[in-house]
Amino acid sequence: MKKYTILLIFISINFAQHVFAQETEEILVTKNYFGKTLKNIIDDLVRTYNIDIDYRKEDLPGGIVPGKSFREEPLDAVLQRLLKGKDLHYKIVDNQVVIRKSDEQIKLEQKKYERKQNFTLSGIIKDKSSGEALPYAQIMVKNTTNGTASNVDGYFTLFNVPSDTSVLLVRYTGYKTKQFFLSPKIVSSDVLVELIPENNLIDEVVVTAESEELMKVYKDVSVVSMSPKQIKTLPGVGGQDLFRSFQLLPGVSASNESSSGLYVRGGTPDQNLVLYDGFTVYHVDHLFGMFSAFNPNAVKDVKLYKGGFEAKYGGRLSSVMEITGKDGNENNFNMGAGISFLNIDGFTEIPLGKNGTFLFTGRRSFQSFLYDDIFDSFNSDETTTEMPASSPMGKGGGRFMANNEPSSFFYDLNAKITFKFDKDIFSLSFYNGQDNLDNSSVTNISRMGMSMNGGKTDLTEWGNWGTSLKWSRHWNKKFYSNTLISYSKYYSNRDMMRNNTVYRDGETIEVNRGIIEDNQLQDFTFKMDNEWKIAQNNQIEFGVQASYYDIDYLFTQNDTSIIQDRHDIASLSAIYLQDNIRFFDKLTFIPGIRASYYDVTNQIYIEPRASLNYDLTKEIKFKAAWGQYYQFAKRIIRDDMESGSRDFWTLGNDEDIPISFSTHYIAGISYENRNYLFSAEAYYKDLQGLSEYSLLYAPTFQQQQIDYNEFFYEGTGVAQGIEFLAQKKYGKYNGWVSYTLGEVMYNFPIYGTEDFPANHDVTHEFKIVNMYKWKKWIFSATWIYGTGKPYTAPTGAYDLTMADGSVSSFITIGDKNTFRLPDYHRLDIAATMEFGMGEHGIGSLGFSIFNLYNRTNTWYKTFELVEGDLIETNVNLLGITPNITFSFRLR
Amino acid sequence: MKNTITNILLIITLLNFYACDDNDYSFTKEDIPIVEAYLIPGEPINHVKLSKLIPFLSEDTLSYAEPISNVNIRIFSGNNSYELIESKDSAGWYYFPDTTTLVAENQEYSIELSYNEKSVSARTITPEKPLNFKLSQNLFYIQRMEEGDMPTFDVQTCEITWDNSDGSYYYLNIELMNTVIDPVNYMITDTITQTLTTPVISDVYNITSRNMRYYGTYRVILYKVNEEYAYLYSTTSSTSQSLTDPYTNIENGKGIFTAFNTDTLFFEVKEY
Repeated sequence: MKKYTILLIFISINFAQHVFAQETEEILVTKNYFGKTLKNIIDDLVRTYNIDIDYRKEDLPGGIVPGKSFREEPLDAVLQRLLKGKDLHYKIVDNQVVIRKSDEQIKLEQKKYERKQNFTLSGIIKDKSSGEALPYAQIMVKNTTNGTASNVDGYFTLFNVPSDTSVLLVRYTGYKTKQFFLSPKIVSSDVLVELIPENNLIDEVVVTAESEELMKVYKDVSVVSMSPKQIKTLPGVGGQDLFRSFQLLPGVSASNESSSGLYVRGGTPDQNLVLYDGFTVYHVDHLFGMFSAFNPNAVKDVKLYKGGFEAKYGGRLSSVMEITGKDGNENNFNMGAGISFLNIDGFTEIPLGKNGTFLFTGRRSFQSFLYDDIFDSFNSDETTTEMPASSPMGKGGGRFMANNEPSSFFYDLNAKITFKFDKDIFSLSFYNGQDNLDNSSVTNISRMGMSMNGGKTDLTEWGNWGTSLKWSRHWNKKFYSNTLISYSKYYSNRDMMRNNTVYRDGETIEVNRGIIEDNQLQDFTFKMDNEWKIAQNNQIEFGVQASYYDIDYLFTQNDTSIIQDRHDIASLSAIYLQDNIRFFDKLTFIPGIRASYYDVTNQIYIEPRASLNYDLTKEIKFKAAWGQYYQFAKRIIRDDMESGSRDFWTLGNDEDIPISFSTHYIAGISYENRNYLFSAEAYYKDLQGLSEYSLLYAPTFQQQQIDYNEFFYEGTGVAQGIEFLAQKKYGKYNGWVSYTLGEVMYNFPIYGTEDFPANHDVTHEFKIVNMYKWKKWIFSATWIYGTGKPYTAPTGAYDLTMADGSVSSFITIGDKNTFRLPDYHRLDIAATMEFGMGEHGIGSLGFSIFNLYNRTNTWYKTFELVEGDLIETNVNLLGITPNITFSFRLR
Repeated sequence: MKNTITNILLIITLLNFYACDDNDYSFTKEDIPIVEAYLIPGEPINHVKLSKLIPFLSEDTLSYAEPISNVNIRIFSGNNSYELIESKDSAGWYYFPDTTTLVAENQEYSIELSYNEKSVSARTITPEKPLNFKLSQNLFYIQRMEEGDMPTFDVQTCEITWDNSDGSYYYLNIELMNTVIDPVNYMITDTITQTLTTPVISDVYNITSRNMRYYGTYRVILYKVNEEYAYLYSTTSSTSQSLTDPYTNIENGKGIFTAFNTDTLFFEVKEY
């Protein structure tokens, strides 16, 4: 191998010398330079004549050079004229020009760079201002199809670069595309490509014509990313939101206001693997799902695999969302803060010495009118029913009751410390987020010798803790490894107890009624991922993963009856291997296999996967994928008629809870040119071993004799559909139109033999995303239309005279989910402006209106039988909601 | 109000047509019979009622259950078969004309009828009379509380017991017999004179003097019921997110075919 490399270098040198020798001296310059600095002129010469000029920026004087015209002048003469009187001298050797201060000797032998042809280039892509490494950036050799992408740490290796003077095109969503000119000097070591973020502030000089905008569809099947930087210009209830923005993509359902989790291609949010800096996040909702639990200030990159995902990822049926947190500014201290009608947030970035960075972000809600509006709209089930004022004491005097105002909030915190050395990166990432919804009230009654203290506890809290310690090493140009240990904890506690203590004549009576539900999941994971780039056309990825799960679930009623008390412990070990091979420069084939051993069932689960893309022309690509997926840790929906549907995480065991299994089939075609992208993808997903838990079929009156594990129900499903996307990628006006035709049919024998549409089934979903830049403003508007969700409705009622002569009414229902709620649609608009605040920093002001035309969208319905009449009540989602955000940052 | 509901339902119906092609099956359930049939040991077969559902989705919004007439209903027990006839005065009510034929205890009975060319059936077992039904006390003295009086916190308990060696379901109906209401406390202004419990597998129920809100004679009926009857008390959900059909033991129908047995005791509440 080494021999081969040496030989290659030798050949390259020889070849280069043959071709390029004497050329530099022979260059004749024809140029006019006015109003340029010396550096501008030198850079232009480098670009125009493809020459390598080595200079030190600090050596060059900064002022404007008096106008100069050259007409077929030899380079030598040009340089003499340019450098005259500037205290600089130069030498030309082997096509390389070296400029130094007059007092510094030019050691030619040191400045000789090997000329390279058809060589392998490696380097790193970074944000120019913060030094933040940019993951999954696209690197192409200009005018070829030869390209690669940076890895999660921003590193890339590009094979077969034709010459050391080739031009690279480097693209990253939310950043200006950069043309990067190679030179023998630059390629002599790892290259650093710095990209400039798409800045809404400036209209100065347009640096490059094109820049990557909000959303990028990858050439790999079903992969898409969005720029966290640009997401903030989209309208949202409480400002920018990662998950809500992803819901604007085709194939991701947008009409679930009560969950910010992603319903990807008929999958449910728990079938979507959410990785944040490598650790799994089990619950992504803030405030009843109106917001996602991630602070965009802490996020650098988000990538969504809508299906057919790689062997590297496992444990989920449908999709993967990989979130890479920011490292923080390497160069300068930075901080910022923001406020909206809903929350305040702040961040700080501190460089730690030469190699380290520290980032801290935090967000917390406060109880504004907006918070209350949302809170009320999700607690509206009580508002439609007037509760009869009944009191056990009858109408009596001396009764004092104090109600506490409900207090609720959410917060999230992110912190990350990163140390980067030559080949190694160590990072420690930490996340904590919590929601606390407290609707409790206190009762104090005292009258004539008797007192009752107590009240109603209605406390719902949930949250996540996550941390990961990552070591990645760039062993050499071809081998990269990433080792990670992580811990993730999700907890959800619900305490709805009415407890009263009655003191009377020295006697104390305790009364406790209600439910307590606690779910806690802990996930300890070790992961090692390796990438071995064997050659330009062949890259192998392999790795291991070991996870240990500890999940508890407790559900009790009235202090006494335990309905569920599960303690599940499991370990899951997996290995995977994947090969990414490119044939004839047109066909990329990625076969992979993942094998997992799950100790609960003592079985090995094999998941073969394959995907391919074929470039028919430069613009037209075909894509296809197939794969099998298992899911061991599952979220199970528990139907609860009194407190809404709740869910809990538990582990599959193949006894009462099956291990879920899915098979994906995906095929698609895309046409992409400089400005537009058109794509269509069809998917078919077969789902096995779905679980549901429901006490609806359990008698509620005799709890001692019931085995509550019998109420887990198993089912199957099929999700299929086709997605269309038309995107205008660049320009003052950009955005996209998407349409998804989809279907998710479930079959749970408990509901009958017929297939029925799943609760989240949406037939047609149409979305338009528009962005328009005007001066310092960005205007955006999104419109979402979705077929109404299915629901089960009563078809009739009947009365029975009971044994004691009383009459009871019963409602009969139609087949499951045969009715549809009214169609969902909503228009949101936003305007965002960035403005400089002199040397003090950058400010940003945003206005947004959610549900502009105040569409009444129905969440669900309730039915009540009153004297033979069916009273149907719509429980509606949020109406028109304005918001203003203001934020400030130093840089 | 009713008009609005009709309109909403109509819209839903239309939407439903719009949304699904093969939605006709959601209406089929309307045409099932509702059976309400009770057998009481020691009494003739005289409580069998057939009706249709009160439909929510038809255009002639009926808000009452239409009786089902002219149906041949048979009740079987061992080798005996009883053909019921419909009451002339009340449509949909059926009985066995021979009133000397009494329902036996501890016997399996089944019902069969044919409706809309479908065979509708159910079965049940008649329970025995509750055994050893007892009240710990049958006379209570409670001090009348007038305005300005100091309340007493003297609590008396009446323990109601019965035998339940076979783990059967029981429930109670405790009812004031007096028609003129005489509350024990000036603060009691309502007229809630009946306490109904729900079926449980138990052999005891306690009432305290705090439940005795009026002076007078109370009747305590203990119902021994079957499991299928007890299931009727399951709570059913009312939101579209989790609607379920109510429990029934009728094959190809809705409602209940069951049997129960009772025993009755009395107690009195008097002024101190």
